[in-house]
Amino acid sequence: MIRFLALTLFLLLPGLILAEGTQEHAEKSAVVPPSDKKSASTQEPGETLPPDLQQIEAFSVRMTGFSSSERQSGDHAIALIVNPFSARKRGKIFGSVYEYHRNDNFDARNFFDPVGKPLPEFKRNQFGFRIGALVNGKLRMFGSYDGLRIVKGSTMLSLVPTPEMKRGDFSGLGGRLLTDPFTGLPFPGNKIPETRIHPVSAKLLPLFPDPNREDSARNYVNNQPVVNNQDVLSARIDYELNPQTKIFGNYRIANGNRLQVSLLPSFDTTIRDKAQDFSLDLAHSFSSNKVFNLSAHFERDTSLQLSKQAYQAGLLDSLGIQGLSVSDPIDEGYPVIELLGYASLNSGFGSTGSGSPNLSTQNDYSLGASYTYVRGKHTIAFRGDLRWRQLNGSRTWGTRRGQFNFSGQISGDSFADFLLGIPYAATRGIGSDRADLRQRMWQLSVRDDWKINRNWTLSMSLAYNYAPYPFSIRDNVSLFYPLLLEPPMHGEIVVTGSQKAQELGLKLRQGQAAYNDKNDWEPSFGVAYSPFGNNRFVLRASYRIFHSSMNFRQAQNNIGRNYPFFYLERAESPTRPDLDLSRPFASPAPAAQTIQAMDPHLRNPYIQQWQMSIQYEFQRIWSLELGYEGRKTTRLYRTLPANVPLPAPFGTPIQERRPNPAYGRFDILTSGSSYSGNELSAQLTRRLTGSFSIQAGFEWNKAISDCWGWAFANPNNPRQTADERSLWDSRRQ
Amino acid sequence: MMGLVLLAVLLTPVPVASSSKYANNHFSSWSLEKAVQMLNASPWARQETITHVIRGVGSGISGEKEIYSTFYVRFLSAQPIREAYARIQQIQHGYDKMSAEEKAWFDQAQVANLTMDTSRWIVVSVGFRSNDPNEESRVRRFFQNQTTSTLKNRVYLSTPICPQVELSAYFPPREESIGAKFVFSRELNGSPILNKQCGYVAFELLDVLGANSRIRSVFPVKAMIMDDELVF
Repeated sequence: MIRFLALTLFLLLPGLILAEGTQEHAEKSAVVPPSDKKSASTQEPGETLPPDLQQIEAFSVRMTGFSSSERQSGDHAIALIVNPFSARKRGKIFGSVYEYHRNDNFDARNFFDPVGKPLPEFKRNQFGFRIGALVNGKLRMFGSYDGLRIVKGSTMLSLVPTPEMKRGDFSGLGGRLLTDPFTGLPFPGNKIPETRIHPVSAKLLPLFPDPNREDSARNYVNNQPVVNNQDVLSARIDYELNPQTKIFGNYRIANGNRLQVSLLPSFDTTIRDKAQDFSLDLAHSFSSNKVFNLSAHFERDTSLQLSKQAYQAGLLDSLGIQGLSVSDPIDEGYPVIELLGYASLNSGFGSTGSGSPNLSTQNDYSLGASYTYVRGKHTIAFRGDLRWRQLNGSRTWGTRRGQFNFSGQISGDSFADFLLGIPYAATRGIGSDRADLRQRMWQLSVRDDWKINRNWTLSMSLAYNYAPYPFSIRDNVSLFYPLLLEPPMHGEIVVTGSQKAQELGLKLRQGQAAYNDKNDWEPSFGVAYSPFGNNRFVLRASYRIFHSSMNFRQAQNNIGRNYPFFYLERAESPTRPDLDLSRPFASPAPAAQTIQAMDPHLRNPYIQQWQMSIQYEFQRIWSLELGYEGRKTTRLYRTLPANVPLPAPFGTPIQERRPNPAYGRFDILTSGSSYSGNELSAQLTRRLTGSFSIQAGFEWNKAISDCWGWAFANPNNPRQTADERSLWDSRRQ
Repeated sequence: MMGLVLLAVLLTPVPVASSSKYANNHFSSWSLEKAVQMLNASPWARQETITHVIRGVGSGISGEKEIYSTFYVRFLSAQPIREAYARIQQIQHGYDKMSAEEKAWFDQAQVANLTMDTSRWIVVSVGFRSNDPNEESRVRRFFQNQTTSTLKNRVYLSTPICPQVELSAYFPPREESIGAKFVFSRELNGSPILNKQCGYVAFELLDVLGANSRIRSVFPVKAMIMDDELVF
C-alpha cells in the first residue's frame, strides 16, 4: 500500500495558483453547496449549478437517437474514433473475437538442430473473445476469455555417454585413465568389467539416450517440444447504486497446463496451475471533498509440479536403493543423479534438481478501507488494510527420492564412478516436507498533501505496518538453541512452544519461528518548490522509510520443516570409495543432518530512500530533468551457514572437522546484511510534433552490498562476512 | 554522420499546425476524415500514449504483450471541437441527404452543444482507449470515482501567465458522451490566464495509470488563433 508513495512524492507539484473566486465558487457556491451533500461529479443538472456549468455538464454527443434517419451500420466504428472512452450503445451487447497463429513454416534452422531432420515443431495459437454490455445507465458487464496453446520444439544440448561407455569401455576416452578405486590400479584397457557395473546403475543406464550428434563435446540434442496451454476467463461488473455510490466487481479464473522438458527425454515435468481471484470495491462520495472506498479481495493460487514418473507405484523401490522411500504415489520417480560433465538424470528444476513433486495452495484474503478528506489546501487520506495469507500443503525440495553426486574423483571419470556405484555424496530428505503456514498482517496510514502557496507543496505520511513472520499451524517448528554462528556449537534442538523451550527462556509460541517485529513505522516527507512561481522550473525532494516483510517463499524453507519433523541427511566422501549406491546411508562415511532454521530475533529489513530532482522546461519544446536517488537497506535477510568444517588438507573427512560433529551444516536465516546505492540520472527531451519527441538519457548507478542476490545466497566465507561487501553490478547506460 | 543527422533533427523547427486550414469553410461541409482529425490531432486536440509491456498471453515472440493507453485531450470549450462533434453526428445520421425540414430539426437539436456558453470557463475533455480491457476498466473506474476536490491536486492547466490553474469543476464521463470534463476558470484575479502572446497552454494529469503516470499535453497557442482571435 505504501509503495506508491515514493513515486507520488517524486511527482509532487508545487503549489497551485488559486484564481480568485474560482475555488470557492466551485467548492462552495457552484459545485458543492455546503447544504448539499452530493458530489460535484454527481450533481444533477439544474439543481444548483450555474447555467454555464450546467451546459458543460450536460454536453453530450449521442451517436444514435435521431430516429428519423438513424443509421445503424458503422455506429460503433465512428463512435470509437470520436469517443473511444465510452462509446457504447445502451442495452446492446458488444464484443470481439480474435485468433492469432504462428508456426515454424518459415523459421530458419537453429544452428544446433540436427541437419537433415525436420525442424523442431512450433505451433502457437492465441485466441479469445470479449463480450460486454451496457445493461442500463447503471449497470455495465464485461467478460473475456483468452486461450493460449503453444507447442514449441526445444534445442537442448548435452553430453551423454556413448554405447561403449555404457558397457564399461572407456578406451575411446582419450588420454584419461580410469583407476580401480579399491586397488589403486588402472583398469586394463581402460575398460570396467561388466561384472563391476553396479546393479542400481545398470537399472538406470537405459535412461541415457545414445548420442545423436557428431560433436564430441555436446553429442546429444533433445528436440522434445515444450507445451504451454493456458485458459483465462474473467468477468467484471460495474454498478452505480446511486450517484454517490458505485460498486465494482471482478472475478478471474486461470488454468495452466505446461510440459517442461529436460536435457534427457525421460525427465519431463508437468506443471498445472490454477488461479482465481475475486474483488469487490465500493466507492462512496459523502460530498465532493469526502470520499470513502472499501475493497475486499480474495485470491487463490494452486500449483502442482510432477515428474513424468509420478504415480508409477513401486518404481523407486525397484531400483534397490536402501533408505529411500516415497510417502505418496505422486512422489514416485527416479533419484537425482548428478554427473560432473555429463547430462544428469534430473528434471532440471529446483535447487536440488528433484523438482517434483512441488505443490502448494495459497489463499490471500484482504480487506481495505480509505477515507479521503479535502479541506482547504489539505488533502488528507486515512487508510487501513487487513490481510490474511495461507499456504496449504506446500511441498518443495523434498528430496525424498534422494540425490547422488558423482565427481570422477574416485575413478577418474564421473560416469565411471556412476557405473561403479560410488557417489561422493548422497542426500535424502527424511520426514514430512509439507508446510502449512499462516500470516496475518495489518497496516494503518495517514497522509496529508498540503499546498502551502504558489511556490511550495508538502506531502507527509505516516504508516504503521504490522507484518509478523509466517507461522506453522502444525506446531512443527524447532530451533537450535542457543543459536551461535561460531563455535562452540553446543546448543540443542528444541521445539518452539515446548516445555524445554520454555525452560530455556524461548518465549515463542508453538509453530512460531521468530519473535515478531512490531517496530515497523514508515514515515515519509516530500516537498516541491517552484522558486519563480513557474512550474517550468521545479525542485523536488523526498525522504521515506519503508519495510519489507517475509513472504511464504522465503519462509517455507525455514518454518515447519525443521528437525526432527523434517531434515536432510547427507553423506559425503569426496575421495574415498566409502559410499555405495545401494546402501549410501549405511556406509562408513557417517550421514549428517542439514538443519535449516531462523534466528529467533530476526527483524524485518527497512529501506531508507531519498530523492532530489530538478525539472526545467525551456523554449516550449525542450525539457531537462536531473535526478538523484539514494537508497540504503538495513537488516536484509541473509542465510548464514554454521557448523562449517574447519580447514584441513584435501581428503580429510568433513564431518569430524565440524564444530558439532553430530550435525551437518546449519543454514540460519539472519537479518544482518545491508545494501546502499546511489543513482544519478539526466534526461533531455525535445518535442518534434504533437506525436513525436526525441529523448536522450543517461543513468549512473553505483551500489554496494554484502548480500549479493536474495536472502538464500550464502556468503563465500561465513567467518568473514565483511569480505562479502562489494560493488553491486547494476551499472547501465 | 549519425551525429549530424541527429543534430539536424534536433535543430529542426517544430512545425506548428495552423488553424487557418480549419476555419476556411463551414463545418457542415467537412468530411468525416477532417472532423476526426479535428478531434484527434488539431490545435485543440492531442493524443498522449503511454506504453508498457506485460508478460502472459501476448502475441510477442516470448508471450509478451505491449499495452498502450491513449488519452485523448481536447479543448471542448473551443468551438472547432464542438463543431467537429456536430459534424460527425451529422454524417452519422445522413444529414447531407436530409430534406430542408429535417435539417432544420437536426440543427435545432445541435444548437445547445454548439452554443455552449464557455465565456467563463475553459473545458478540457479527456477520453481514454487501451488495447487491454483491464486497463480500460481501471481507468474508467478511476474517472468515475473522482470529484473536483480529489482531482484538484493532480490536474491543472498551465500557461506562461498562470503556471498552475486550479480545477474549478469536474464531470465524470457519461455513457455515449465525450469523456471526463475538466473545467478551469478563464480568468485569474480579473486577468485572462491566456493571451495571444503566450507560447503554450498545457494540460497535466497525474496518477491515473498508477503512481508514476504523468499525462502532459502541450498546445501551442499560435496555432489556436483563428481570424486573429484566440480560440480555446
